[in-house]
Amino acid sequence: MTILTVLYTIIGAGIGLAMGALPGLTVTMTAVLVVSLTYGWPMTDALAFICGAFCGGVTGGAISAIGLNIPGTSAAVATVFDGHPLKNRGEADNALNVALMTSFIGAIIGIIIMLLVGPAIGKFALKFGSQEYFLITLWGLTLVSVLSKGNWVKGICSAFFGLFVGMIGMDPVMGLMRFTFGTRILSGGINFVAAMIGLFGMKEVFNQLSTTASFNITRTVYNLKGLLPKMDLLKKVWRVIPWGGPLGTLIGLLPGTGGDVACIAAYGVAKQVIKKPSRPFGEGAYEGVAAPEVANNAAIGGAMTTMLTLGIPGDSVSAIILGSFYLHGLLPGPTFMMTEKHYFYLIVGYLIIGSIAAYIFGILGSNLILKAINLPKSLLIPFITILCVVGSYALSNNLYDVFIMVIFGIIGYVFEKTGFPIGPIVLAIILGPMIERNLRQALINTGGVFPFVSSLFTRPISLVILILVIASYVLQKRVMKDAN
Amino acid sequence: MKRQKDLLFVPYILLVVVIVAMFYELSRMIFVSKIELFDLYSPLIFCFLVAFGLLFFLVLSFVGDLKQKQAAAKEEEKEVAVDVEELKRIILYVLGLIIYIMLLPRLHFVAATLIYMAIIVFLLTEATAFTTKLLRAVISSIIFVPVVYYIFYGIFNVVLP
Repeated sequence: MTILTVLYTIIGAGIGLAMGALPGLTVTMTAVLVVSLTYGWPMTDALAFICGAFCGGVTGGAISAIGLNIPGTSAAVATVFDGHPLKNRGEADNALNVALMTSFIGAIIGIIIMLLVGPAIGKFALKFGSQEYFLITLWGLTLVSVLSKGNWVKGICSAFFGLFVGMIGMDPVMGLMRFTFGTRILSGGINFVAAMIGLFGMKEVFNQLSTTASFNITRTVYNLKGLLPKMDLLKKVWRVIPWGGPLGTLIGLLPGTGGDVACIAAYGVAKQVIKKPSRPFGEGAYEGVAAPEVANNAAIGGAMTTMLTLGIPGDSVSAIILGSFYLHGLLPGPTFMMTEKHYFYLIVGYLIIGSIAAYIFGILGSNLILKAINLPKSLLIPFITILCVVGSYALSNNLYDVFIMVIFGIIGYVFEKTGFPIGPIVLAIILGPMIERNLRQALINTGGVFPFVSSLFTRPISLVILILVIASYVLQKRVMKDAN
Repeated sequence: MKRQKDLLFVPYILLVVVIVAMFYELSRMIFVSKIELFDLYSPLIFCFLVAFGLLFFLVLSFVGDLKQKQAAAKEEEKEVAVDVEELKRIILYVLGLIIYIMLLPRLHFVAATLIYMAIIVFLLTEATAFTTKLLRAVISSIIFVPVVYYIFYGIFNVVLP
């Protein structure tokens, strides 16, 4: 770790915080733009920047959730429920104070669990065969599809579309060209980062075009002194920390789920567990702000653990980060803790610095960020567009990728408008080759379809994973239902 | 009352095209390239599963959406509709973007972006006075583009188009 990488982490956290706070500019979009723009950088510098942006992005969502009643990111959806009522009571400073403080604590809890659990999972993952990997990757993909907003069948359709996109180009096992339709352009496959910039960046530009008016938030001003850590506020919310952090990390650890699920689940659990909140939930309970913020930030550590030790992204943000690791020649997976152990601890270090920086920037820069939200969309829209164009071009200095980005932007817009979630597309593009490789290897190893299916029940680890799969569906559906 | 356009069938059309393309490519590989489909070593088995899975769930989703649409029609409301003005704006924006991308190799980043930015800011600015709009567009473009150029090319070392 050098001074320069520390500086990149801090800058990344600042940019992530601002982007996370801007409604419509999601953490995923921030991550994908940061990944594309740091593509040409040395690996450690890029990692530092990406980790900082990830931490900042998740924390930033609370700023607009409280000030605007619009979550800056999907991971701050539940922060709105009590954060905005607190603002309406004239306690915006206290609400943001609690959100920033608990975000930081949650992130540190997640990182500590990551440090404790990561090496153990990495060691255990070495025992995994093709069957286990097939099950885990499929688990992640189906979980994200089923838990997507709206109709789960549409989520599965989106996942299948993503699998198709991931199959274009060379077959990962035998090198056969597939779905290129005889064109040279498609023979290298679809650049997944360009597709992601389109799906998350360009799509958002089209969404923002629906209205050119900016957000009217001129009356919201945070008092800097009111955002400094306060013991009396911490005393009010400490009850959610012992379970909120581990719960968020656990949800982050599950393949296919991340901060968005963690925050809703934590809010649901808080409503059940805390019998005497500071105020009724939904009317400005401090615990209602603290629980989702602890959990969504703790999920960062969980998602990074699964991604680094199993090579499986927890959510669309970690899918993009996983893609960036591939671009930089890093191969997360079971052997990562053996061969690239130092990177694991380096990432932990970047996440800690990123969380500290996000906390400090949150205190010092919230008013500036709220002013930035007020920027006219006539400036914001071309700015994001140019970022998307530059980002997709930078991948391989090729205008073809820019056109791919625009096409996926249109697809993302239409899909979202019609209720087809786009998260599963991204996850499927990344996970598709893994699922295919492991399925085909497992089929060859077992010698047929029936031996393969029976091996899923006879192999102890795959049986445990199967039980976990079923348990996760039942539990998550229940928690989400309670939260709703 | 705002005119609205139903977009519900657009993703279905796209996904049907994808399914047709997948089955066409699969049949070409099976019958022309003589690659076995139901073989343990077949490179087509996963493609077939994906094509079949997409077809199955698309039909399921379509039936569900049709039922929902019929129910919504009874209540005289549209489920998935987009304002026609918004749609026009997006189509025009995409066309402008394509022209900008095509101009990039000829005019290079700075010149092409200056023009693009100025036009977009001018068109999206809500002010009614022509001179105000023009001034805002020109000034923001002149400030914005060199800053972006310096940040990306100078600091980030990103190769610009």
